[in-house]
Amino acid sequence: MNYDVAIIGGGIVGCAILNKLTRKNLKVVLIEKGNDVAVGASKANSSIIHAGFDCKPNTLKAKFNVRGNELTFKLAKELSVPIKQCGALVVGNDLNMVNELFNRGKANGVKGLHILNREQLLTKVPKLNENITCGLFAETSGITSAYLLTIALAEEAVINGAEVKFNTKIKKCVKNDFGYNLIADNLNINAKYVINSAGASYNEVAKILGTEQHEIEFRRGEYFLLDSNIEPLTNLTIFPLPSKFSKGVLITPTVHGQTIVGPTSYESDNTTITTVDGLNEIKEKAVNIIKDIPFNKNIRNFSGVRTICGDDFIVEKSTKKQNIINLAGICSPGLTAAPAIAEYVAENLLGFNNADKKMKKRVPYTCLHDLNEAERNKLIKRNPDYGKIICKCECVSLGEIKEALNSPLKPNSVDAIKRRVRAGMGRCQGGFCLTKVIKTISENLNISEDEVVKENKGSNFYVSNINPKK
Amino acid sequence: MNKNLMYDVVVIGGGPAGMAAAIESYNQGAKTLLIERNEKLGGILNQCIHNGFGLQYFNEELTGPEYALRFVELLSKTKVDVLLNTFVIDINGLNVTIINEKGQTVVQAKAIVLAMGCREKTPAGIMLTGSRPVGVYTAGQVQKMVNIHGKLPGKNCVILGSGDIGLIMARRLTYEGAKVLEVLEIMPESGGLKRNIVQCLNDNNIPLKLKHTVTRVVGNTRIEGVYVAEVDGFTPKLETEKFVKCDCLILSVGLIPEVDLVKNLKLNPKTGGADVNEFRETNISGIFSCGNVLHVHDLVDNVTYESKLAGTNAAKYALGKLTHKKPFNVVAGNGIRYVSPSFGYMSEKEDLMIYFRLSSRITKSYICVKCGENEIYSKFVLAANAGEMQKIQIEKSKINGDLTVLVRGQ
Amino acid sequence: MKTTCIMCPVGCELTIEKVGKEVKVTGNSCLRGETYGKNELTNPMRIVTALVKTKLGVLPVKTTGMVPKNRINDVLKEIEKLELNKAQAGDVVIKNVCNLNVDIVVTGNY
Repeated sequence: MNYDVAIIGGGIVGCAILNKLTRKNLKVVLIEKGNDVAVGASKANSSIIHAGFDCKPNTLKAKFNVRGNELTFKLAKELSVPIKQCGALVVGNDLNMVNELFNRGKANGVKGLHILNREQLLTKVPKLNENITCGLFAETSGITSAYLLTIALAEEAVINGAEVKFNTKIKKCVKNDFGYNLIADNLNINAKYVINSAGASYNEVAKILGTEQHEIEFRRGEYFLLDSNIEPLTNLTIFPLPSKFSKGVLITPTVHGQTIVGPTSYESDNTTITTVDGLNEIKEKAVNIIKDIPFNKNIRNFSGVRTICGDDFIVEKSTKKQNIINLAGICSPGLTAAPAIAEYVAENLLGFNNADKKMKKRVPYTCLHDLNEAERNKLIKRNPDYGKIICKCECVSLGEIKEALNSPLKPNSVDAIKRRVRAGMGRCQGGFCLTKVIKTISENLNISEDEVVKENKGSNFYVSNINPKK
Repeated sequence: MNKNLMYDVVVIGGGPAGMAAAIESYNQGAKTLLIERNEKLGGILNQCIHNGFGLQYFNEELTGPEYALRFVELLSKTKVDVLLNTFVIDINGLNVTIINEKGQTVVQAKAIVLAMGCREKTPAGIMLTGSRPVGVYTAGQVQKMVNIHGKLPGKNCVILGSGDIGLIMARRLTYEGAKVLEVLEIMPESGGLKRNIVQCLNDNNIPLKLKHTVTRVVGNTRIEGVYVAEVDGFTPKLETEKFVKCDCLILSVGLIPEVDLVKNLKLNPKTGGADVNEFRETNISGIFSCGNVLHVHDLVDNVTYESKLAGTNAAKYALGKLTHKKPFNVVAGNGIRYVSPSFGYMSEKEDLMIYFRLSSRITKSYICVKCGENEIYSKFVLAANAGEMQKIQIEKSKINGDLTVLVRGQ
Repeated sequence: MKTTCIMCPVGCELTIEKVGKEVKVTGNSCLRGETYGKNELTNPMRIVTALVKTKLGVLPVKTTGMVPKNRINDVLKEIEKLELNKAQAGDVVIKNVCNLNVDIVVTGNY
């Protein structure tokens, strides 16, 4: 099969490019070694749409962040992905640093920045720690769900002609008359252009493509996810004044009503473990922002790995191989920047300057939780499966799970379903619904329950029937 | 769906608590509705296929499903309306919003009995660190996988926590062809019943390591093993850390009452369940609570006794027969972790039933109840464990003020 | 042998020895403990609960009485062998299992 473009890596950046190139009317394929999109850094981060005030001026980070902020809000609305422009605060007691951030923001072209004193801060967050004296308020900052946005970008691309290949690891890349011949155990295709958006696996893929290696550093960030039933701590994202390595331990609501506290920033290999030290550090640091955080209402600890390549993003044409694009070190603010990177790659690096085609609209997942009584009754009358609640914490029905199983990317894992419709995302963490979700997947995909996986290949829940033959 | 469903008493949850409450409510003459989210009644009992249920209440030893079936049968002889596959999404005052295959509607109640049971503490609840691969489950999840679905989640299992479900599952997994390598308990003694330690662990040569915990989980796709260390208090002694290869880690680390459905419910911080009066009525007038959503029980027999009380009183409330006069407090004194209920009424003639747990194991001591300076009740106990629920019954004629339950030596 | 008495919450640590033809129990604080200890050494008995396979899924079963502890595995093997079409609570699925004078009965429904 021949394609215009092959994208390797289905994180937010790869999927944003997939979507953009589909809009440019190209034949595009996304190759992902995992079993779904957004299974690396794009599923484990703060899901903040940054305003762009803390990137150094004149960097790619600054440029793509500010443009990406604007594009993301537009795109999320088009794609019916939950997003909220709640604003963000950066708080502390160093007014000079606040001024510096303000000026940096101005230089980057960020609108809606305000320096606030303690009194003004308190009107926004009454529970702020008493040591905080000043802060910066950024109107344009917001929150979304990074994995839902990634999924939606890919889905819209797929219903408009793009292809997605999961569980596919590129083993070989050979130049041929068409462009490149890409080979995996389960794939043999040609593509004129290849894009390496493999994130943490950038160098592995670059080696196969014969393109530039970049010095990559991994930084692991650990998080707490607090229950939706806590007394709200804040309606907007709150950062401490930044450190050299990261934006620090933040507190933010999620678009689903839970609260995230984190991340840490540890040098690490590419593993997403959590540690006692890391979690304790979050607890210690977060109290500097808000004192009484109910960490006993923790429903999930998770961690994600950021891929860092020096001080800036790498978004470049390979000089070693023609028609290959290198995307490396897309760490924070990568989520925000992704649509801007996609635009730049499509229009500037690949030169597809034609207007975007009109896309067939993606149908958003039904969310029973968000409907009113009349809407729910209408829905259940049409299909009684929407009245069968499977996940009690998040109020997710059988109908929604079936809908997700039939969605454009044809997800088949429990975690993929969880990301799409939130079954198992609540306080019992699947304690009650896991076996029901496994059963639903098995029945609807016509596979045995033993074949149902949590995430990637090999993550089967059941090892056998009871009393296995020895 | 039918609009304007109206009942005297709506019972939420069709496990042992809800069934007992619904039957008693009906026996008091109240029009009663029982709501269950699953496709059958019985709740968690359906997956507790082991024996040891009903020794007190039925005077015979039953399995969980048999205990449930006894009540299903009793219920079938009443005119209690039962809604299966029905989920309560909201309780607003005494209006219960339900959703099922017919749609969403509001049921108006004159009284509500909460009988939703409890959920298990998750890895996050104990801040379990390391990786998050497949193969880490709670004991109840594994119980469902094995006993309901006939599936094994692993062949070499480590169990963290020696709660009763964990102990029971150690035996079940062994019987069904898996190997349980060890059971780890962070405390110096197990909170599980002695019977379970002997018959589930010792009978099957499964080691119980006290003062040990899992320090981290290893494995990317599947769990490959866990690091286990001795603890000093709750702090792992990292020099004792050892790797244990396993393909399944099972947590049996505690249960939490599922109270989240009801807003503004006053909770007892010690139990995580509602703070109730002797009728098992919560701070919200007309809302009663019983079973594991009130406080986590060790024996289902006690759930039944408590729930009958809640069901009876909910019906009386709905029918306007409950009086709340001359209140008195019931307080946990020396050696008592918590008491339930936390207050009663002298106007009520029925005996006062107090459930409580001890702060720690006691031997050769007296459990007493003081009313002011008078000791109105005392019982000698040779030994009692902290995990075991205790109960005492006090005649109302003896009560003329606040009560304190306490432990004293000889 | 050493075991914990389970007759009451005291949980006495019992030491049970065979002295000649007599069985001697120490560590107990009451007569029930002595009886329990003697039985645990000479003839420990248990109720067995397990699952039986049917075409519609697994169902819980139990022995209708106690069986000797050292025969539990034999009983489990007999239960394992079964594969029924369907069953319901109360059905006797094995009569006089392993000649132990107890039956295997289904205790629950689908």
